[in-house]
Amino acid sequence: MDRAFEFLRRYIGRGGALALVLLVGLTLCGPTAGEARSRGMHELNYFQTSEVEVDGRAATRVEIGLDRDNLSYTVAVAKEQPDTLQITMQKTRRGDVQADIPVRRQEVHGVQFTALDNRTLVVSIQTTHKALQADDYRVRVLPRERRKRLPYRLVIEVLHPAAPTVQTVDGVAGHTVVLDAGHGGSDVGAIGPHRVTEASVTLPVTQAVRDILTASGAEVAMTRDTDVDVYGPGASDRDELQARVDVGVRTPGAEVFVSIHCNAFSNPGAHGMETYYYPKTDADYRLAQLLNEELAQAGGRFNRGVKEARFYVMRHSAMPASLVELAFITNPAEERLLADHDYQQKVAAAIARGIGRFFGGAAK
Amino acid sequence: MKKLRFMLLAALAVLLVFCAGCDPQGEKQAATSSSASTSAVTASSSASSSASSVAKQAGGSQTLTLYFPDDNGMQLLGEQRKIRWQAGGNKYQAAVEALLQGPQGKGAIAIFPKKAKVQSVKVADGVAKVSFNRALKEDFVGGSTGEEMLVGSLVDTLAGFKEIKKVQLLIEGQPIESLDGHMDLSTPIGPMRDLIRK
Repeated sequence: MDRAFEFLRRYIGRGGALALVLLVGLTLCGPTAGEARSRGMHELNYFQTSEVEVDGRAATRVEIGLDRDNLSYTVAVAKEQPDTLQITMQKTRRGDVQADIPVRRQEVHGVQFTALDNRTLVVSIQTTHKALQADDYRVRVLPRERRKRLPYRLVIEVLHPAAPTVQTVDGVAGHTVVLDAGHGGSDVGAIGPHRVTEASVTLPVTQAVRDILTASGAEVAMTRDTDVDVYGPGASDRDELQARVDVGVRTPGAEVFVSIHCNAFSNPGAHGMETYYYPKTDADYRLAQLLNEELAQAGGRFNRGVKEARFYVMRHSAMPASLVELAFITNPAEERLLADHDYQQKVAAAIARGIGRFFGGAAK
Repeated sequence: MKKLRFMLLAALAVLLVFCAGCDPQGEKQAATSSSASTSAVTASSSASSSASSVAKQAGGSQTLTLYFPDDNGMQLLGEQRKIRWQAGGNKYQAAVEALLQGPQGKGAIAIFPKKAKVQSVKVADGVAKVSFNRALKEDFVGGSTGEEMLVGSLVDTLAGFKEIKKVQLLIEGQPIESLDGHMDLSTPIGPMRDLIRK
């Protein structure tokens, strides 16, 4: 552009060149602006918030009116701010709506409009959530309602942070279960390519299984409930493993022992879920089988099967015992899943269902 | 140089003759080796079929099936390998060293940590006690699959020697309880043949 201007100036002088450039610019822009409107450029013309109820949860509804329909938009939680929901609207300009709107609702603090370029507008909604989950918001468009004088609207509902509703399973009421979160404390277990440690996954999963089982009426003993060694830091493997087995010995009426782990292998491509048993009794196999079925269904990972192995905690537990390998922490994709809160809840529920079925509860 | 080779050959011949005296199969071996003493390799290869006491002292080579895990850690794949050991070496140790070097075939994976070294293999009463340096445990990737595959590949490979029925892993000569807190390794482990791809 500069060079073209320079070239023109040399022949027709500065004034002439400027005039020419302006003229060309106008002829180019004039029709483009008009075309944009006809191609469906949206402009905001309405903004409203209200308190509503969505799926039994209190929610704040944000309605953003548009002068025309067929809006295309994408929804994402802001990368650096997990409390902020961002909706990117294509072919949209802010129009007369304020750029920064303070909102005082239970679930929403404020709304900002930022133009990414002259045809893309980003709506940022600051919520009161610490970290938005997929189920915490709904985004949709509503058609124009002439009678109510409502325009075509983009509607965002931010649900009230849910009081964690704990699931329940059948069959476990009155039974006693020992849960073992693999590794912990001085022993982080296997480590993934993005440094997620096995111990940091097994504890929340095991705690989630415990929460489901206790909410369902079972007694649960945990070998550990924090990030610690069960025997003590730097203990020998046998002392550490026996200390876990001993929790079962010490728990009156304990009926099953389930140890929760993440798998590892030298090849990062290795993947899938598997469950292990040591054939003390037929019940050992049955427990591993039921856990495997439930995990395969819920987790959706490649099913490596039900395997026999002489693992210490299974061999030495006096009760039916199984060790589950949720997925491979050494596999980058599975490592990401294992660290994901929703995935942890999903596999925890599967393990709880497997235990429920072991005690004769119906499969759900 | 020539002189040295002659002396080595002579020493080998003397050794074989000496062994022949204490080995019931020795007579046949001594005969084979003396007739073939022009080549050290031929001479020693005949020694490989004899008992361990001989194998420890003479060099030799033998074809053995080494087992390596597949790339998803599901099964063990067999690979035929000619293992060689030098005079004063040990064929069992040569086998484990070949295993540590990793697979040559496609679809197989090295499971032993790169820095793992075998220190000694001693066979007595059907049990091979295999001692590794600390890197075996310290650098081990972990996981149930990692453990099953590492132990399985070692045990199944060594079970290729008829005289080995079980294998015990040692670190720096000391018994271990576990590699990564799964498998109980405090006692010798028998072959894990169901891991081998049929």
